[in-house]
Amino acid sequence: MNMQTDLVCYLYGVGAWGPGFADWNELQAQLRDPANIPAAPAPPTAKAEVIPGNERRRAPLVVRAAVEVSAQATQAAGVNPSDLACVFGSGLGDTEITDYLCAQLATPEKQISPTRFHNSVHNAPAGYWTIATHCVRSANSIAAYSQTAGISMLEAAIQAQQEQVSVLVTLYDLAARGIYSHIYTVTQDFAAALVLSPVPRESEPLAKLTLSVSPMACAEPTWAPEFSRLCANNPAAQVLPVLYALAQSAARAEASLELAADSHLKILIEK
Amino acid sequence: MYRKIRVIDYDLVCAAGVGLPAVRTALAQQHTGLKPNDFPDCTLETFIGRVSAVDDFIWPQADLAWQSRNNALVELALQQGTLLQSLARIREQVGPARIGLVMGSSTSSIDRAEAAYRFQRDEGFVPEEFLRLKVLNPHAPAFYTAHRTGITGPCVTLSTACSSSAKVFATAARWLNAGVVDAVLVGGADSLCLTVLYGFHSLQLVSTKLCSPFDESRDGINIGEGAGFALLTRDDLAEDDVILSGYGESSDAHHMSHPHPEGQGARLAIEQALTLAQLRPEQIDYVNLHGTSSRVNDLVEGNLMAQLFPTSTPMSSTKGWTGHTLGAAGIVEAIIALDSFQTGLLPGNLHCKKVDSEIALQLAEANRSASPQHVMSNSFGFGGNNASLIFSRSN
Repeated sequence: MNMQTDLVCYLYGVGAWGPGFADWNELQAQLRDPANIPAAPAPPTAKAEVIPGNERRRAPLVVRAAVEVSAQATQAAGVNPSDLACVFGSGLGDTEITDYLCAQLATPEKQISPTRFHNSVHNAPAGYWTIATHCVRSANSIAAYSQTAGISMLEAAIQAQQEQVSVLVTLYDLAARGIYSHIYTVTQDFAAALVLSPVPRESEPLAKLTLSVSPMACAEPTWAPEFSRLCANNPAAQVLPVLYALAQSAARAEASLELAADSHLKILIEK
Repeated sequence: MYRKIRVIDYDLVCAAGVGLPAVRTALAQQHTGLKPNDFPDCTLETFIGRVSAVDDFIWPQADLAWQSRNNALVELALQQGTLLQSLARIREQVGPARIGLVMGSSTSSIDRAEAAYRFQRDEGFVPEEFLRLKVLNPHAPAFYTAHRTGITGPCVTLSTACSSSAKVFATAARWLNAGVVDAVLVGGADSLCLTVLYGFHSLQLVSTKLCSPFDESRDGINIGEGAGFALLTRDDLAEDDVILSGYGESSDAHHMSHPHPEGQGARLAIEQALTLAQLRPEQIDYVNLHGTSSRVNDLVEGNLMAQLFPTSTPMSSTKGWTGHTLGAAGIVEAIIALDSFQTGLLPGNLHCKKVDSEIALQLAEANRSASPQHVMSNSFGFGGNNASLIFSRSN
C-alpha cells in the first residue's frame, strides 16, 4: 500500500478521557511522567455538557464519552464544531446496549425501549454530536476492530485532503459487557479526539502531521505498563502512541497505527 | 480534484431476487418480494422482505466459524454473476494489497448474538461456537468478505444506520482519489433479525400492511434484508462506462430518529452530489428515493424532491419490492438505479395507488422505459445521517 503523495494535515486540538484522566492535560502529564498516574485509576464522569440535560440523561455512556472528548478537542482547537466533518471510530460499539437488546429479545415479551433501540446504532455518538453542535456536515461512523484507530485516522486525513475540510476524529471503546466480555479483553474505558485541518490556520498548530503507509510498524514507546495494557486491550486506545509522541518534548517524533496485517499508517509528528 | 470513479461490476441479493437477472425480472414484472411475516420467533403482524435462499444456505465445514445469517447473505451476494471473476482480474492487475474493502452494515451479525443469548437462556451458558470474535463484531461483514476474497488492503465497515452502504461509495472514491488503493470492493449487508423487527416496532414504524411508499394510506415500513457489492476503480484502470460521478454526505443535526422537517440535511447531500457531478437537477434522468413508507420520512423527502427537481423527473422508491433493507439499502438501491443503464427500465413506485395529497410529487406506479444518462440514489439514516449518490454513463 502506497499513497501517491504523503498526506499532510495540521493538528489543532486533542481531547482524552479514560482510566485516571479527565482530559488531554491530565493524560499528557501521565504520558510525560508515570509518577502522575493515580494508584487506582478509574474513569471520571464523562460530562458531555454540550448535550442538553434531558438528552444527556438518555444518552448511553459511549455517547457521553465520545461527545466529551470531541468537545474538549474542538474547544482546544478554537474551532466551531459545526464547521467540522466528523469521523467516529469504535472497535466494539455499544456492547452494553447490544447486551440489553439481545437479553430482552430472549424473553417471551421481547419488549425493548424505543430510545435504547435508536441509541443502539453504531453512529449514535456521531448523531448526538452533530445534533448537539448543529453540525450539518458529513458524519462517518467506523468499525475496523483492532485497526479502528489507524483506519479512522487515515479516513479523516484523506477526507481533510480530498474535501478540503477540517475533520474531527473521535475514537472510543468501553469495557465489553454481557457475552461480549467472554470474547473481548476490553476491560477499561477510553476515548480520545483530534481536530485535523488540511491547511495551517491562523493560530499555531499543536503539530504538523505527515501520514504515509509503511510495511513496518514503529516500536512501541517505552512507557508505563498501564499504557501498554490499555493500548493492547482497547481498540480505540491504540491511538495512544500518537498521543505519547505528541506529549514528549522532542520537536519531531514518529508513531504508527495498524492499517492491515502488513501495513501501518506512519505518522510523523513535527511541533 | 475529484476524478470520476468507474463501476466495473456489481451484483446483489434481496427479497426481489437472488442475483441481478432475478431482480431485473421482478422489477420488470412488478413482482414484490414482500411476504407476510414468517420470521422464526417473531409474532409481529407485518410483511417482510426475506431472502429465503439464506435459510437454505449450508456453511462448508471449513467456514463454520463464520456462520451468521448476515455472513450467509454476504456469501450469496459474492457468488452472484461475475463479481468474483472481475475481482480476480483486478487482483491480477494490481495485487490484493492495492484493493480496499469498504462495507456498510447497520446490524452486522447481531442475529448470531441473538441466537447466543437464546442458547444461554435455555442452557445457562454460551458455547465456544457462538463466541467468535470476527462474527460478534460490528466489523463482521468486512472480516468475512476479506477472508472470502483475499483482499489485504485497507478494510473498514461503515455503520451509519440506513445510509451505511451508500457512504461506502464516498469513502471508496476518496481512497481511490488519494491513491491509497487502485480498486475498492464496496458492499453492504443487513439481515432480518429480532433486533430490527422489534426495534422498529417499538418506534411504531412497522406497518401491518404491504408497504406503499408515498401512498396516502401508507403507515410504516416493511423490513427487508439484502446484500450487494460493486467493484470500483480509478478511471484510468478500466474502460467500463458506468461511473460514480458524484456523492454528497451530510447530517440533519435534528433528531436521532426523526428527519429534519424541511429535509435540510437531505438537501445538502443532494446539492453536494450535484455539484461534484457538475450536473443540474434537470439532467438527472431517474432518482431512486429513500421512500421508506413511513408517514414522516416520505412526506419530508417527497416535498424536498418536489422543490429541487422538475415535476417531469422520474422518481420512485423500490422498497415495495425489497422492503427496507436498512444498512444494505444504500447499495441495493444504488445498484437498482445504475442498472437502468443496462436495462432501460425505470422502476415505478410499487404499491402507490394514490400519492399522498400532502406530497407535491408526481409518482407513477408503472415502470417506464428510458435511456437514462444520469441517475441518483438517496439514503437517509438514524442519527440524521444522509447520503446521495449520482451514477452516470460516461459515453
